[in-house]
Amino acid sequence: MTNILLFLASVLALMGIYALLTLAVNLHYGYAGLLSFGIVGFAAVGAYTYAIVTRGAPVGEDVYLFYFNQPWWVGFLAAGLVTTLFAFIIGLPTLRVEGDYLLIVTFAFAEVIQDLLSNEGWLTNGTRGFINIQMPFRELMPGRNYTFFLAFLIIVIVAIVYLFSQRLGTSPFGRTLRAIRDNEPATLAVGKSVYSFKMRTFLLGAAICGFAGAMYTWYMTLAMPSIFGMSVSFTAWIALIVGGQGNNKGAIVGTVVLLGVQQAIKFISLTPNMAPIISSIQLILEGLVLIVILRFWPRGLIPENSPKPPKPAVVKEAV
Amino acid sequence: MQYAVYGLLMGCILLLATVGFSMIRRVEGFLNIAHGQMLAVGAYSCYVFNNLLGWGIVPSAIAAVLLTAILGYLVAYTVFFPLTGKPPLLIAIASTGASYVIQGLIELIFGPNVKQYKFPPMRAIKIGDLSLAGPDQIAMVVAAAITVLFLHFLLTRTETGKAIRAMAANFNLARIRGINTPRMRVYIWLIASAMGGLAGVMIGLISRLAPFMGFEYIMLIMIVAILGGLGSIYGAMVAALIIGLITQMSVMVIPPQYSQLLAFALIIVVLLIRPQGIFKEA
Repeated sequence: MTNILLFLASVLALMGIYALLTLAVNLHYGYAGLLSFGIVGFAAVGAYTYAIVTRGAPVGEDVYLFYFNQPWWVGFLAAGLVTTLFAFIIGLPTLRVEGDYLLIVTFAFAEVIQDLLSNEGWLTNGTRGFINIQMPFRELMPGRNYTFFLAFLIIVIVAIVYLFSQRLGTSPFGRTLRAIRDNEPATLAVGKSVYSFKMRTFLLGAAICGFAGAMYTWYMTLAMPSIFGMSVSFTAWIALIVGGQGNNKGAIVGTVVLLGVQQAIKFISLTPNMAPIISSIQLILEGLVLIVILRFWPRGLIPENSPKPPKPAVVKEAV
Repeated sequence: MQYAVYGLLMGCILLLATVGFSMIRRVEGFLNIAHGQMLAVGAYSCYVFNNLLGWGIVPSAIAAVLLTAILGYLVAYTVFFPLTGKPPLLIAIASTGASYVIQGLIELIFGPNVKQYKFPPMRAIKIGDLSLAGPDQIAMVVAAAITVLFLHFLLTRTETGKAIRAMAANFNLARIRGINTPRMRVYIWLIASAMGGLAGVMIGLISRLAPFMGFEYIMLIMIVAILGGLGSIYGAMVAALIIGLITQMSVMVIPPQYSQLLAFALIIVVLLIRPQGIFKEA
């Protein structure tokens, strides 16, 4: 019984982390129409920032030079901050031009980051990565019970980000983003700085990815280049498309459905010689889901519900 | 010298791959992520003819190119044509899905392991002590050059080419003026996929086949496309040679694992100072 509960808790934690990534994709694409495949790159930057900031001195065959030995919350904040900085550098040349450029550059960014993580041993400890990641409140919660606590903590953070995105979506800021997505010239014409809005959204989404990356290291208890492959980005994307673009509820539902199916598939593929076949079938299915949904239900499971414009204040005319 | 030869080869491969990508971007208006998989399809179908059916390398390469052209068109027919008119970014996501399906199928059929052609390594031609390129490498460069010349004459001298260029400049106007746009689209997808397939065969000849090769190359293809100016066919040709030579020649100065980073840095700089690419879209 406890084993099943443990499994469920860890699945829940993983869903929470992916839900954050999907919320970030929704912020980028669903709200502002920015197509960024760099989600996983930002998550990797966040994860490694967290690992390096909270790290103690190297032992054994470790080759890294920098470590700061800070408590977890410093690392967590640094993860968001450094990721935002990276996003700023990416956004600077690409957000001024057509959307295609952002797609290409973020795609390349994610690949290059993964390369750098494996090659720059002095900073990232190479392909060995960092093990024994410092986790929040680990000392209070010994043994296996920690998994339950971690799942709870992650869900709380997801809830906060969800409420924040929801609020953002209905705020004037969110309405401007939708306007940019639907008709950029018109938005420009009413005097909104499109570039500035795009940049702020891009930074915000990237920061969420950075936090999610740091949380991913808690979940995995390690940070390695191989866990930050492009498939992470695409999983978040598929989750959003399945759930429904431009709406946070859809992002959460899509993540739960997709991750649920993925974990169930992992559960079935028990024999080792079945694993490659199952994984290629999974690839085919995910691709097909994407194509079919985009063709027949382009609005996803839960269609977007654009907020109504606020009522203009009624001015009582003096009689 | 060896690096220069490899750079030239890499440039030719990227050139063949990117020209098709750029044509599709130009006429259809979206980034076709699945174009990278055309390389994998070409490479693997050549593997089928070469290793499993035992044909020579040249006939199997030709058969592979033809097969890739047809498969590429089928993908476009089933996935992209119904989505015509949707926002380009949405079609780009759909093309990612198509890319997944193709990669999954290749993995399912051929297994996840790396494969190689039955093709003996050829000795390089030597002049004095200087070892030049092998005959196979020269053949590849010649094949790429012939393909490019063919494309150039097709685009500039024939009715079809003129129609394609008209569609690239203004799709709706071309249609109103009576150009048979549906048929031209078929030609475009066939040509683009065939060139991708040829590039894939060449990759298989100089290195190895892996199911993820499509994804590996799509990034380089897109970088080349940006450098040449998105959608510009001649720009893509020049940019492909530049990127090919830079990534291979830089190995002499900096460690090989940085060549991808170098290409990425180059793109950021290009976007900052000259976002339209080295050539304007034309």
